[in-house]
Amino acid sequence: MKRLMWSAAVILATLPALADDGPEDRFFYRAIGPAEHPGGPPIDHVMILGADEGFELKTVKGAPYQAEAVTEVVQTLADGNRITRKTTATVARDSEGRVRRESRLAGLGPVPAGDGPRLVFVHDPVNHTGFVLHADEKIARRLPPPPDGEEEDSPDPSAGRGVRIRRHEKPFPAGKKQDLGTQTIEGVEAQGSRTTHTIPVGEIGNEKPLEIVRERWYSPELQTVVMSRSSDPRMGETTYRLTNIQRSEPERALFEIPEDYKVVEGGPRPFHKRIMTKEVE
Amino acid sequence: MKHTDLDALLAAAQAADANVEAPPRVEDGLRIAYREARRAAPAVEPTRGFGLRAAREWLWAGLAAAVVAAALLAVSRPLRTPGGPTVAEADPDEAFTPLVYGDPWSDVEAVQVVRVEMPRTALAALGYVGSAPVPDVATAVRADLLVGNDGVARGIRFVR
Repeated sequence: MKRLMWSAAVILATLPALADDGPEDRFFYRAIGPAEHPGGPPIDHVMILGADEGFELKTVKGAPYQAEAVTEVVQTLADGNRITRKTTATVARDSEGRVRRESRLAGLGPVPAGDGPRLVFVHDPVNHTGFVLHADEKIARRLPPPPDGEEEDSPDPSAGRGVRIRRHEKPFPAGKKQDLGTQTIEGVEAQGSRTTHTIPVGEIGNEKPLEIVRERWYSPELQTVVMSRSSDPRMGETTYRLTNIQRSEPERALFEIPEDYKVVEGGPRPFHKRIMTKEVE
Repeated sequence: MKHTDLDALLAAAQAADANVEAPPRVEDGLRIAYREARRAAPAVEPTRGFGLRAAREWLWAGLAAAVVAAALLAVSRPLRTPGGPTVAEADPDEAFTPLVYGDPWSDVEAVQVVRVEMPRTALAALGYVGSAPVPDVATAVRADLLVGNDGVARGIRFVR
């Protein structure tokens, strides 16, 4: 009996180590959500639990830059009051097409979020890999490489690499497109276009038509959108803008895993293995 | 009284008793009591170190403890993350429901899949118009959002 108790004690003492979650769980950020904590965050908040997948839709070589990406959301309430929220990220791309995006998820569109994780996504088409840096925990997770033949440079830049968005239940009318010409934004020449979609009466229970306007300013030189603006009566106005654009080559270290990070291989959900199709109207 | 005086007295008493022995009846009484006490005690098997039998007992004890530990581990795993998501909760092959009116891939150069928990009331603010059934949860829903590099959620996939 004594031996049984001693053995049990030894094994039970090692249980915490044995029961440690696998890497699939390690990258989720525990948060107390509204369902568990009724007295917690405001009712309109989103609690970010984790973010461990990210990828570029296209690879651009020979156009390096670094910039800040600022997203501002303005909501005008029925009483005329306004809610403004701004989030900032950094983006860097080198001549070989590596991209680094760093941000702290503080909100999703018009919906504010709790104190989200600071994440760095690095896409490395040269080495056919990518990784996520969980900066708060100093953990780097290498993303699995895409299968052969499904690598970058897809002929369709919006191929939805690794994820599918299903079709809308009802095909909506094509938007009206308008050319806005060319203008210089943050020292970069950009071509503008505006697309207006109209949601017909009754489509979503609306008594009057709803107009959704999207403006896009695209730099052919950088091959990136330097500014976009979306106006949707349901969500407010969202403006995305690259600022402090520097055309110099970013430091190579930005695209490498820092030495003091613990490296974990593989990801919980190998999105590259999923069907890669574009199923959108 | 000083310590030296006490020491001298004790030494004298020890010298005086040096030749005195206990009476034979006392010695016999002690011997009998010892034998009776030994007869009443259970027999003890002579130990032979860490023998085969002991090893076998340790092995069975270890196996039994391991089974108990494995059972505890299996039970405790789901309990460790009562509020946290697990991979099994989401179907990675399930398509996202669009949140934007129009081409969700337009103006986007990179995307992240972000797992969130939010009140049902926040769904409308994200552009959800009910084209897919919302899980029947009274206050909050858990979902994966497909978020573009501009911070706008393009699609949603509910976690079951």
